[in-house]
Amino acid sequence: MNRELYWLWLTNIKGIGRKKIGSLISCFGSPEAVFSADEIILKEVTESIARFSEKDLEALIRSRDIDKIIRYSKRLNNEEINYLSLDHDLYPNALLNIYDSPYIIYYKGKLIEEDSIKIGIVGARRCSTYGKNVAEYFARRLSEHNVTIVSGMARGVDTAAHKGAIKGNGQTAAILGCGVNVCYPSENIYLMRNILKSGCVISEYPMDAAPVAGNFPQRNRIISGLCDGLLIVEATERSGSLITADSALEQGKDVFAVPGKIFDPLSDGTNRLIKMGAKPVSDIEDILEEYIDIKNRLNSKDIEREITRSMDEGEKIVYACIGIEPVQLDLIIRQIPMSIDELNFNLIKLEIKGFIEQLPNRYYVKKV
Amino acid sequence: MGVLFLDELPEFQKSVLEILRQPLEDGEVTISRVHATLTYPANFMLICSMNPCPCGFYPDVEKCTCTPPQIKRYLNKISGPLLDRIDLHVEASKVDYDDLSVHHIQESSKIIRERVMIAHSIQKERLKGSKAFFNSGLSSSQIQSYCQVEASGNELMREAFLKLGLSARAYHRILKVGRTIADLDDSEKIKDKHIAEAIQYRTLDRKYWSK
Repeated sequence: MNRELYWLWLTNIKGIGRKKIGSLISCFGSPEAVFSADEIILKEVTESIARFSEKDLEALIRSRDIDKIIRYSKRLNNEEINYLSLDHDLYPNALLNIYDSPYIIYYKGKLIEEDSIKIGIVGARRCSTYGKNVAEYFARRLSEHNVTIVSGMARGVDTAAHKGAIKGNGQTAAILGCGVNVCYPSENIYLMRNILKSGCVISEYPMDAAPVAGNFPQRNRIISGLCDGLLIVEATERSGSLITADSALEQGKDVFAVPGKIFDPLSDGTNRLIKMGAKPVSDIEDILEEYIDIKNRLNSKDIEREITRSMDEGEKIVYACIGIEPVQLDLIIRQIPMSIDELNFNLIKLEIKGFIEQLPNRYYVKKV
Repeated sequence: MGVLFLDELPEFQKSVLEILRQPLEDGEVTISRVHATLTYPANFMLICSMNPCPCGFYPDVEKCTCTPPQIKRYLNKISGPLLDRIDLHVEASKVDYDDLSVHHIQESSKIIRERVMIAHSIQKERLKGSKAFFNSGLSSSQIQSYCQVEASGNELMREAFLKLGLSARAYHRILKVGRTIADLDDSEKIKDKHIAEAIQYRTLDRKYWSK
């Protein structure tokens, strides 16, 4: 059996988690040594390990079955799940450099390239339309510059970030709080498939592991661990993404935050991060300039001018009434001296051309 | 003949809703019993109403207590094929208190009725000698002859088809609705603004049912 299989064995014993594995390794030196250790010596050593019970020792001894381990690895193979222990050459360097690196990671798809710039994008699950659009915009534009986008595939900001990266034809990695063959949340099944087409899904949890609540703070340290910088898009005062921001700070990563309106509870967390030193960002250059030389900053006014050049008079007037916050149709009607027919006509033309998006209840918003 | 109004559409059993497909498409319904199979004409106008989610407050994030899977399950009770056969999708937005009390200047029902009568007579004249009375009954060859769209309208249709993911059935229905909108506007050719309006009446499925 090779080293990788010993790691696979050691990390898949019921009741024996990261801390106990850590203690075993520091006593015996390697997973092979634990595997072949004498039962009596094992008993002596494990008695001095905190919270290592009789049951744990039994489970450890019983699991030392080469056939069973090989069968398990074949099952992983059949599900196209790959695994890397921290001893493996291909184990991401970024994860080696964090305090409590996962002993083993499982992944499906194409593992992210070592030398690309990796930016994590996280935020509130119940984000606003603004948050969703900002996440997608940043992810898309950053991918166009060959940045890999890392996120957690959660509802809200994470989902928008992955979608943006896919639109930008870039690489994206989803770090899950469950087994890589489990899709959580389940409504992201299509997104997960799309992510796997060009990127990867990574987890430190074994095949079939359920998305238990306690897994997510642990998962967050891997998101921040893998990236060079972390962008928090929207976060309430008590948002889980602030935990990810904390991990990032501990790991010495750059933390970026999107400023928001001061009365919006969804920006309480992000605005506070900025007050504590996170870099406020309003465009991708604010992030990119930390890693590469920016030759020319694209003026946002120039981009606007480009867009409106392709519109006729009617479309321009209507487009001017629509901003980055959703606006209801009734409000637009009151602002422009246009008949409802003409207004509807211009709205649908703008929508088909991709400049605006229609939301439920006849709300309209600018498409970024 | 007549109008069938189904209130709270997702509350009906899915199997019951599926039975509507045949009459909506063919204008007749076939009933099989042990001793006989009978086909009856079933030419009705279907009007349905529904809420976007079980609690009724979606997309108001503050008030809606439904989880995304709950909303999805509720909306999926209306199958894609059934939704496709409904020509006009209209969203009734929340009524503001002001709207209830203020007197708005609108077209009177009388004037609107006159416009509808004119459109009726145009359609009667057009469909003289064929089975159908209204544009909804236009056959595909009749669509070819009567539903000519101006060049800019065709361009719009094509873009909408590609960007909004419309089905072939939706395409024909939009043309027919466009024809009626043009009739109401007393226009012989279907202009791009008529097509635009017709497309608008088909946006509900994209907003609520898409991924």
